[in-house]
Amino acid sequence: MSTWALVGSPNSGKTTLYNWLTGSKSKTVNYPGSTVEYNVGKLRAHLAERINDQEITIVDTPGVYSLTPQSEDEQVTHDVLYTQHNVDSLNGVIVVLDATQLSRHLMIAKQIVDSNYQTIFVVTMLDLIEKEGSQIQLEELKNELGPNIVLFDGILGRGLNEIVDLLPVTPANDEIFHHENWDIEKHTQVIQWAENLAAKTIVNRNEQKSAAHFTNQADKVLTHPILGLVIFFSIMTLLFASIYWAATPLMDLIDGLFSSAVAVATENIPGLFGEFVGNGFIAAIGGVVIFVPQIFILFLGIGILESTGYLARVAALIDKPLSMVGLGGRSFVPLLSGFACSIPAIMATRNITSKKERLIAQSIIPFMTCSARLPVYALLIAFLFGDENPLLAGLVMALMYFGAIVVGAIAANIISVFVNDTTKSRLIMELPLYRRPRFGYIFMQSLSKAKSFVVKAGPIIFGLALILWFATNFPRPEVVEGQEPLSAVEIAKDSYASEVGQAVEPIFRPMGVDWRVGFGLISAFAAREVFVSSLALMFNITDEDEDAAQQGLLAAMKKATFENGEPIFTVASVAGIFIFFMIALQCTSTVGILKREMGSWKPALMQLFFSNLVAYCLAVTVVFVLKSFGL
Amino acid sequence: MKKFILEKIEVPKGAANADLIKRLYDLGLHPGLEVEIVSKISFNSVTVIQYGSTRLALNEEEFACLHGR
Repeated sequence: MSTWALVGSPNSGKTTLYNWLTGSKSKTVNYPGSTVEYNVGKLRAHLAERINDQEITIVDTPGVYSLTPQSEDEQVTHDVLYTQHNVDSLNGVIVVLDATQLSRHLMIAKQIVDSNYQTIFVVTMLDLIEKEGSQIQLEELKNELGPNIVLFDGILGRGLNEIVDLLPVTPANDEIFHHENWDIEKHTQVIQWAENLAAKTIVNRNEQKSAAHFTNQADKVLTHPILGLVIFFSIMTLLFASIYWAATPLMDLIDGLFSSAVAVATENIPGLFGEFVGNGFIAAIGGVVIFVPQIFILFLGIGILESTGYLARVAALIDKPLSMVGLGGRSFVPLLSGFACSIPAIMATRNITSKKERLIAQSIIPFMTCSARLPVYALLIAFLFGDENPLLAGLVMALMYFGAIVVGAIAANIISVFVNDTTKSRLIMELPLYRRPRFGYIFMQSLSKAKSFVVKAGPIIFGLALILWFATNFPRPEVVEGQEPLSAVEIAKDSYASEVGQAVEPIFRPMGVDWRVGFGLISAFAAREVFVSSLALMFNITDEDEDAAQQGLLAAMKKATFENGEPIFTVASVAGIFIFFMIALQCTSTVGILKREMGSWKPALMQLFFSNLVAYCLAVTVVFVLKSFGL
Repeated sequence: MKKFILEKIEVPKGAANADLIKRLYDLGLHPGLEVEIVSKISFNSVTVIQYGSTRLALNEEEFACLHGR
């Protein structure tokens, strides 16, 4: 058995080659102590046949500009090459060189050669070179780098067999030298060597026919100071609409299927066990699977934008406004996605290379107005304005969205002070050539992300959902024989969550609400929209029809009073609930995914604690101020 | 579009970021190279430059390291 690492710059065609070599059956792994993922896979069976079925493992390392690491991605590649904690000892390195960027990519080649690794050099992007009418002459390249050089066409797979034939050669070199940090003089020497070598290798270039020519023309429009922004906002709106609207029918379908499964279980399995299987177990699994369509669609969108080369332009276009809150352009798509749902949005922060920026983005995404907040806002707005003032209702809704952005910006500034990273936010971004996206690969990658969510974050979300189900359904009072079974309202009223709600009522009182609203706020930790159904439960609203239930709940809210006869729901207390929902981190699924993406419970729980503390304090302050104005 | 010959790559006075200079070299920038300013984007704060087949977007701090005539 032997192991080979694929090493190259970003956009060099490394992952395309990896897919040709291993097929779709690869394993995505996290390097220990890092959130950076890379792929490890076995050589495809039909390719292994060429070399007597030898078992060969291929490691696709993150793209690097140098083997002196300056980012978490580059550190992982460096460690795979030089410390090899997480991979089998390397037999050799396949260095991937983009023929259209050969002089730059030869610098990585030089660093690998100096490391004394057994090396195969693969020159990619043949289709682009052929299209522009250039020729590749390998003699000089072989003189400098050795004989193991293969030309590879990522579209048709030409050159694949030659690469495979070179894999099982001699055993690994015993002595590997770490890449020395080059000084400026050495750097300049290597650049000049690489430029000369590239000029002798790629000959007869025709600038007018080159892929760079098309990119330059497209960039005149796509990165135009004004038109570029218009196109950018249009594409982002389309992406956002996709996660929001295109996912809805699929989510409804999943919801319907799981609701049916819950009904089948509770109707056919008698007693408490049936309830556990249905409302506890199956519903908790449904609570995980429901996010899959949004995660899949978001990563499909990001994958398409990234593989066309446009995502790098997005990052550059939006860099200035985001840099004002300590973020970079790569944070934009995850932040925007947060307005649909925090779960896929937090997963999308993996695309942010700076650790500090990633942490800030992960921390502020939960403030964005996700779709689960909308039923709560709709109820509260309907309570305040009814159907009489749609303009004012719209204004309040817009204010909630704007408020979320302001809160996020303030939080980002605060968090950036506490993150122990003094390096300045860096853009320095290569704008790659525009390419046609490889839909098949992007589709498989998006499926893999969705699967990774179910397998890795799923158990945490599932566990938290079960705990909440238990808290809102137990203890069960004894049912005397012949007596009607307890209704959901009766169970909920005596549940642990209700007990907690009543016990901590003094905490909710300053927010201007009683324990019933407190129960709603606690239940909302399952999912924010549960607040509405919990409130309906507490106020005995049993209408099956959604509109009738909403009207019934609104009427009950208007009549609800404290023991002293004072109304519970006033402008002040409703404003307090608004503020609480805008800031508080209530969604346990979000806490679960934060734990997964941040790598430990500590930051996730800290965020849970501080968000809720700030939300509570602000809500109490707003209620106090508004009450003093008699509202 | 303005072209210039890169004379030196240096962090402006007062700033300290040796890694940034190294990264600019990693990306193939070096004294004597002809660089073209393609456009200014993101509210005039990001400069897109082109040299050979490489196109880079740099923020103000990064672009300030490139000195040329």
